[in-house]
Amino acid sequence: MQVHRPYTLHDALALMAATPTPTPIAGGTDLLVSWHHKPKEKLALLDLSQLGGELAAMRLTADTLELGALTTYWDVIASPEVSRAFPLLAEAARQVGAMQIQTRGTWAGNIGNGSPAADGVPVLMAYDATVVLQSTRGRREVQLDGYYTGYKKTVRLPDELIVAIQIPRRTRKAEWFEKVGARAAQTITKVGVAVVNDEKGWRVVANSVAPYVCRCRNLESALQKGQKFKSPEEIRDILKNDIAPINDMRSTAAYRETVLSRVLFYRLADKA
Amino acid sequence: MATTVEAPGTSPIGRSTPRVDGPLKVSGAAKYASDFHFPGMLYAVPVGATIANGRVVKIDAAAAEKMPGVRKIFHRENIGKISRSVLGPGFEGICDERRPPFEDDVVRYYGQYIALAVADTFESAKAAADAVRVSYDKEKPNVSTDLKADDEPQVVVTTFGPANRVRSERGDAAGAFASAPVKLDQTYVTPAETHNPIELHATTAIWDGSTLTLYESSQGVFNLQGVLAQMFGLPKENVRVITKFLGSGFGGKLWPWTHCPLAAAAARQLGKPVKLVVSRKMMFQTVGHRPRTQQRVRLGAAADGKLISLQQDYVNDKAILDHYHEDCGEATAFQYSVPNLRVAFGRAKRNIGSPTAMRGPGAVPGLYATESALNELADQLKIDPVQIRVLNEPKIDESLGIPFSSRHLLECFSVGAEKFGWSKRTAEVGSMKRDGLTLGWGMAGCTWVAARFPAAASVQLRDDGTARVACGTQDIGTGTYTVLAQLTAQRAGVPLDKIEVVLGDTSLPAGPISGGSMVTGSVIPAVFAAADNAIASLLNIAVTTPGSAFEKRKPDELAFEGGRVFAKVDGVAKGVPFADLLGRANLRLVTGGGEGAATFGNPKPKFSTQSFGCHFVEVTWQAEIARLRVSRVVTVIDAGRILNPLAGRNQVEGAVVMGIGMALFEHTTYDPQNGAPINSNLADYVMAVNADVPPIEVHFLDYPDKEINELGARGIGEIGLAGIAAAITAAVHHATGVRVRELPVKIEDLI
Repeated sequence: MQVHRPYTLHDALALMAATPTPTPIAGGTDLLVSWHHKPKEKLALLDLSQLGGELAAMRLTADTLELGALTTYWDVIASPEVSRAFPLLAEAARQVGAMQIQTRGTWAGNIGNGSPAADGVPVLMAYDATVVLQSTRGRREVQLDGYYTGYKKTVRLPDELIVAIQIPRRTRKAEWFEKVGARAAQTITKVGVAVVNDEKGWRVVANSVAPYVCRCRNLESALQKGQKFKSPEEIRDILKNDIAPINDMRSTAAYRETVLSRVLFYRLADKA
Repeated sequence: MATTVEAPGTSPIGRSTPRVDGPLKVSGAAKYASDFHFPGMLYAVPVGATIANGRVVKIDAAAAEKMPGVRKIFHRENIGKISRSVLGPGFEGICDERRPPFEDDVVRYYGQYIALAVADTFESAKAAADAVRVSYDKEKPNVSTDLKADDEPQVVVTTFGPANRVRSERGDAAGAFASAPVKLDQTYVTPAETHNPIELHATTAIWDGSTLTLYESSQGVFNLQGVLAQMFGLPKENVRVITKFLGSGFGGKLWPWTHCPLAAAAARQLGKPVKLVVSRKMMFQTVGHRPRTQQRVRLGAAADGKLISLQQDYVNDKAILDHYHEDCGEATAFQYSVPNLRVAFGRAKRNIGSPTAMRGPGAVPGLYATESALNELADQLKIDPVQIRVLNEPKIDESLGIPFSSRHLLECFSVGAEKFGWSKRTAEVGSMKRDGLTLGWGMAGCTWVAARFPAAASVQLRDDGTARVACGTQDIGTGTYTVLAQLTAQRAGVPLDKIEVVLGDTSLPAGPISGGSMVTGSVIPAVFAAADNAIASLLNIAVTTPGSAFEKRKPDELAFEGGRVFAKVDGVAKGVPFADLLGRANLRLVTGGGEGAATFGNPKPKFSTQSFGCHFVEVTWQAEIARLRVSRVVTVIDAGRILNPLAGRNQVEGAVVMGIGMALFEHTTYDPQNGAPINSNLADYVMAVNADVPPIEVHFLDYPDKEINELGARGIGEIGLAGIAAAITAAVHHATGVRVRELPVKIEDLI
């Protein structure tokens, strides 16, 4: 096992350009999940923990929130300004594991790991976040919606590092987040959904119902047209083209589809 | 409810007493088995089989042996002799997995130890264990969850000796069922559950010539001593087992497991102390679990709800070589009155590690089935579930034909119903609402055996005014240190903070296993006799010591109270503190030993001794988003006299929390392909967390049961987990209309 520990972003990007490409880690919380089963011989890690000066900052301006790549869930929970400006971020952060995970796990890591059950990604995508990628070749911005191309597959190129997440500040007419798991806390999501309606329109983002966290575009257009729903089944019929849930150890496809439709139906009736 | 005998303030008995070992625990000074370190100590990490059925063909340890810091890779060829142990007469030599580790090259369950890496550090040992390459002849494992009883004779071998597969029988159960006006015939399933105490199993083994010392996380140091002495061919007195503190065990640490002789065998060969800590993943594979059970319950009743016939036929799965029986019929034969009854069991061999006792073994899964069946019968007859139980209350223990020593189950029901507000329940499914939520109300009864194991103790009174009480039992976190201090304070009149309690060591007077909820009840006579003997010795000294105030008296003219010796004619006010007497006699201390006999296993008891209780449960159900929560629990327990209500309440609350886990979350799942427990970590093995725990009201009836001991205290560690799952599933049915007969309840099944 090789662990690189750069002290500057410049060095980090140089290491990302080397072969074999290391896996960047920040809090290491996802890495530990499979640590004991992972063959270590060829493991190469890039420990970003020393880049606090360059990657840890949260910047809230009049029109944007920028989360440096080392921003943890707890940083958001502990910031009254950020929690007020983007309440769903704090709400989702509080439901990620226990406090030990919240203080180590990062938003960028949650995006980078690419789990379909990621709890941080739906709210970011619903807020229309942009991922800032950097490499020795330069810097580019990618919409989080569009970042994923398949199960644990993303548009990030091997030498690119997520350096920040940018979220536009907009006037919102509706915003809510719901996570459904087996128990009341420290639970792995069976199904989750974040919904935002702002000046650019509706964004409905679900997790654990497709190979990656995704927007439900058919439902969004229906909402955009002002469609009112008479039953959860009506929503389910629309969602059929948006999601592709599976049966696995944590739940069933039928449950995920049904509960997502019901959550959407009742919460939209409440708060739309 | 009964009132306590002593007024509060005058006696430590019955008073809520914070743990005397609390400061040690919160400051980190309490030493658990893996906290002991010795010079030159080595670390061992086992290699577990990655198949569940087959044969080890080759173990290639060449690479592992060359790794830095590695001392040795042990396997079948080089571990040295580890013999078998046998069950002894009485309650000793008990072991659920009898085959010594590495005895043959056959793999019978996933994770079975096949090699052991020993190195200078834990990290080196782990790396070496990971580098051992094993090839197998692999066969498909049988971990099927469909349990059909194997073909076994009528009398079978179990962990505790032979047992008749007809557990209990009276009348003509089948005939009475056939002609009963009302029938219920349902099958209830409980899954494999894993204990998961936070303290992992651990052994540190140290040899000194032909004596072996083991620091072990054990709920039964004396049984472990006997088994290990057999396995290494030693006199029992050459093996010492020490368990100062346990981060609980829930039954999983009652009997020895294979990691312990492995550590001892490695230490024997390497001539150094060896520490082996079982990993969390291995905790799901090699140290026992509650087995899966499948229980068919048939009830026949009259139209008014009076039971006519009860049949319970159950099967549990077990390991290929061993003989575990989950005694689901334990409580069935006496809990309710029924003239015709038959309880019988079978077992099904699977490629799994041996099951073992888990908190409330037998009765907990058993009562889930029988109490659920009774709830279903009540619904079928449109009778209130409390009423059907009142209707079937027995006058005596009908299985033994003897009276109960103390049974107040009806009062439990009435107190529980009143505290819960049960009279406001409307029976129709989904009929109760609050704040937009659908409520479900359910209840169940519970019971747990009460008895004494043999116990010995010693009490010293010392010249500095302190006392020491010693007993080779263990404190699994339930408050045994505290209750021994309370008992000694009561008898010797020494304040709690001046009492040293010493437990968890086979060099002490033999104490009971921390099992069956029997420690407190068992140690009372031993500690009291020990204190009385120490006091008797003191009175002799008082009359024989020159210059003593009592020099001219006879011992029987003296008495002892509140730590003072006094002449009966003068009263305690003129008494002399025992420390002064010892000082005058130039004695450092007086010691008394005491013993209490067993009542457990008595073939001809005069009374049936059991604890009783009930749970009333509320769940909230949001059908819209399929959210189910347990929102309120009222539990009433009739467990005799409660010596420490603070610790007692904590035991029952903990059991209720575990019951929420049992009902809604916990299950160990085996991979049908390779036989591995799939969810073998604390993220995927879902149990209740704080956010799942509702307000829990615990009420004790506090009727002393003098058949058990002079204080009338029965046990409380397990009864709180009995019945709770049946109460929760009844509440789930009341809210949702869905009858769950296979635990845990999955919200997927409720929509």
